[in-house]
Amino acid sequence: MSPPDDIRDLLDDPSGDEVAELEHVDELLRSVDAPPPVPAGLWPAVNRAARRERPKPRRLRPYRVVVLTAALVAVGFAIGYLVTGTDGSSDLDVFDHITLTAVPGAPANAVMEIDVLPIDDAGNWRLLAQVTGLPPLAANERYELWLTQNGETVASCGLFTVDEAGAGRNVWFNAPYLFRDFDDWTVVRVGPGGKQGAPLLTGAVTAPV
Amino acid sequence: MASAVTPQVPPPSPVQDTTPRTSDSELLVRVARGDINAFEDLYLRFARPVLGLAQRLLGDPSRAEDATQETFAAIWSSAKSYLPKQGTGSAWLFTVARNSIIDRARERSEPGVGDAPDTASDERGPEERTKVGWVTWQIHAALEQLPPNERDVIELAYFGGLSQSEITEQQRLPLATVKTRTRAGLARLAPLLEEVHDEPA
Repeated sequence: MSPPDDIRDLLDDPSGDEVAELEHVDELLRSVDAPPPVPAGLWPAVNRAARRERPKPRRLRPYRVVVLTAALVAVGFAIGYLVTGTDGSSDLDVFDHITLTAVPGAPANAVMEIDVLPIDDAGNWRLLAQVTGLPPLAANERYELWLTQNGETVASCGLFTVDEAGAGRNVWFNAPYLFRDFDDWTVVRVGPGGKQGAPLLTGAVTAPV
Repeated sequence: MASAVTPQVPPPSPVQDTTPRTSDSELLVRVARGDINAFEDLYLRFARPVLGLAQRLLGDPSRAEDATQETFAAIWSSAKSYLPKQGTGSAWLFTVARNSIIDRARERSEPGVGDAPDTASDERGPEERTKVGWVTWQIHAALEQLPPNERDVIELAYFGGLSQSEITEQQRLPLATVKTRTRAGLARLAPLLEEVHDEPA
């Protein structure tokens, strides 16, 4: 349905580039059909349909879990044997250790130490972190640990808080990802509504898995 | 406060009255983290564009509603695959919606999107329909960004065929207010539609 011509009167008032811009909008609006009304019952149906689905992060596939676990056991035995001459089973608990340090502008003494523990039965890496030196949070704020690609935060490992001194001990995370997909670890502050602040801590992804 | 802390789930977000508006990309990143409030915000922004695309491609309002449900379920489950550097949130959502709707058309084994017609037809082919669908999607999505009072008068004029005077009567507003809102809405749409492309970016 075409709009009455009197709408064009509105376009004659402005001058210069604005006329061209409004005429472009006018032309586009005339070229399309009306968006349909959305039935009131559609959102509950969409909500139910979505809840039947679960977000699907890129998870470690079962065969990879088996291969990685076998590789870790083999490496652990080899290192244990070479270093101690025993089976060295107590050395298998930590697969990797990551240190995130302060970026310029963050408190210089801020640091997060993460132990990457072997994959659990659900196929997730378990991460155990200790953090110190972060600025204390307001009640509606959190910190969030991310994996990044090309400077973008793309895979969240979880949210956490710190005490009044800016420290957190024994903070557990899950990482259901292949680390080699990512460039860096980073910690950002998250405000109300999920608004992300600038990175505070960063460290390179080193694990080749 | 105890020194031991554990990962925490963020508190429910309040009703969004965002100033400035949260970008589609930001909402998708939050949806990827399982944020149902962000998912609802995306639905409010894109329900009409998705439903409109489904109606154009499927031609049946009932099937279009089913396809819209499936599209949003697909958005919820696959938002992790969206990478902001690869394009706008709106373009990613269009691609997900188009694929979901085409899948539905094919699953039913009925003549639909992507099927070659048996006989020559004046109707647009799948590629042309997708191109038109992308342009329409951008325009419908831009309308969702307008304040409701500006969107209402523009839609009554362009899609309802009402003159400014008729809108004045229907909305019980002074004529000057109707004109001001219409012009403000058109001006607000101008930068949103400045770079309407034939293909998703």
